[in-house]
Amino acid sequence: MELARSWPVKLVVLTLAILLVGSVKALAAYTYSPISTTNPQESYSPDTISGRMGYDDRDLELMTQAFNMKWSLTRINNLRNYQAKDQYYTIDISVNNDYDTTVSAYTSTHYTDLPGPIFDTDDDGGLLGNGYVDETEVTVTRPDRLQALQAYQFISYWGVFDTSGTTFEWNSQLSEPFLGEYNAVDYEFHFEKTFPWW
Amino acid sequence: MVVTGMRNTRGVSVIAVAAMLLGSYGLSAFANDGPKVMYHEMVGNATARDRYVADAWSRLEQLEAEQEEAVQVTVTLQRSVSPEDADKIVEELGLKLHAWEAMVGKGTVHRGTVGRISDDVADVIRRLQRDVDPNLTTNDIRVVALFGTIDPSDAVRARKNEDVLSIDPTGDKRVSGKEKSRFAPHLFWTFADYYNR
Repeated sequence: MELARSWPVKLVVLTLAILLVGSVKALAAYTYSPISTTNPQESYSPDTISGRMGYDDRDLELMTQAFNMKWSLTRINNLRNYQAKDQYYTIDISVNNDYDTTVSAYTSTHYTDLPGPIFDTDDDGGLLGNGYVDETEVTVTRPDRLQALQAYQFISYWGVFDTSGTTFEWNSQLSEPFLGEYNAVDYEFHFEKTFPWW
Repeated sequence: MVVTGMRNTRGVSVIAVAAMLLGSYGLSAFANDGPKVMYHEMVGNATARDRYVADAWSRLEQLEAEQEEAVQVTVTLQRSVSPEDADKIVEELGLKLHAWEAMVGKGTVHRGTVGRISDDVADVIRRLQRDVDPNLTTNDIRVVALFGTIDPSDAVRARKNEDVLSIDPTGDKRVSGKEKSRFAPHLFWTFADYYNR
């Protein structure tokens, strides 16, 4: 009789425990990394920039983000002067090893609220690449539309093949159009972040 | 962005210096005839933009005359359209679609841009809802440019298509002379009023 009374209770407790663990797992499926922030120095870079990553362990999908990018009026004027020379600001988020095989940027689904954006991705390992896209960037072709001290962002997405570890870098660049794409003529390193971060 | 032969976000190589010099030719460095047009000259300047667009059509006619096979192109639309209307344009053009790009916004309020999309719109919205704004829906997506391959003869015929501003083959390696084909930047942002198109 004692056994018969305790089994239903145990079943209920066990079911609740499974549901609880499952829901915690579901809640934990998407997590954000710590945030990095810096105040760049170059005349074309934003006065401030932050970066973070987000990881979805169900879809094996990594999000990299540059955000809180704010330009002062002085630096916006710098960008407009560069624009007159056909030079433009680019924010670049890349793996720091061209031959990395743990992640590959989606060649689709980049998001930004920067004005006049031209997106690009690259696979730089070797002459023709190694099949893993290691670079994502967006060039701002309409700096005349930038608002002083407004916070802008750029997001790119990556497929994750294994979590053995890799490092991403955030760089600002000054770019020029060249044969249908934008080439860096100068750059400023901001910070790097390691994936996974836990 | 490529600086060939080295990590392209770091060192400025000899090739980059060459790029600086050649970059002064702007986007139409590969157009052999006619005036060169720099990207910033096209911003809000229909005359300069028309010169660039005319160069692109001439190049397509040349590819057609040379009986070249399908060429990699960037299609800039005259105005933003829904994903469903973009599908119709793709079909009309005979374009083998690789990706598309769209403005994101509520009503006429431009919020941002989502680029080089080749996934389902549902996947794109799922990511944007999670990382940008949980209230975004498919209705907030307005396509502005298409990237794909097309037979030069189909491209030349599309010159009469009122939805199309330009079809630009200059990213194709047969035109650029580079090792890899790419997609040339689209021209939608050169419209002065692109926020409202």
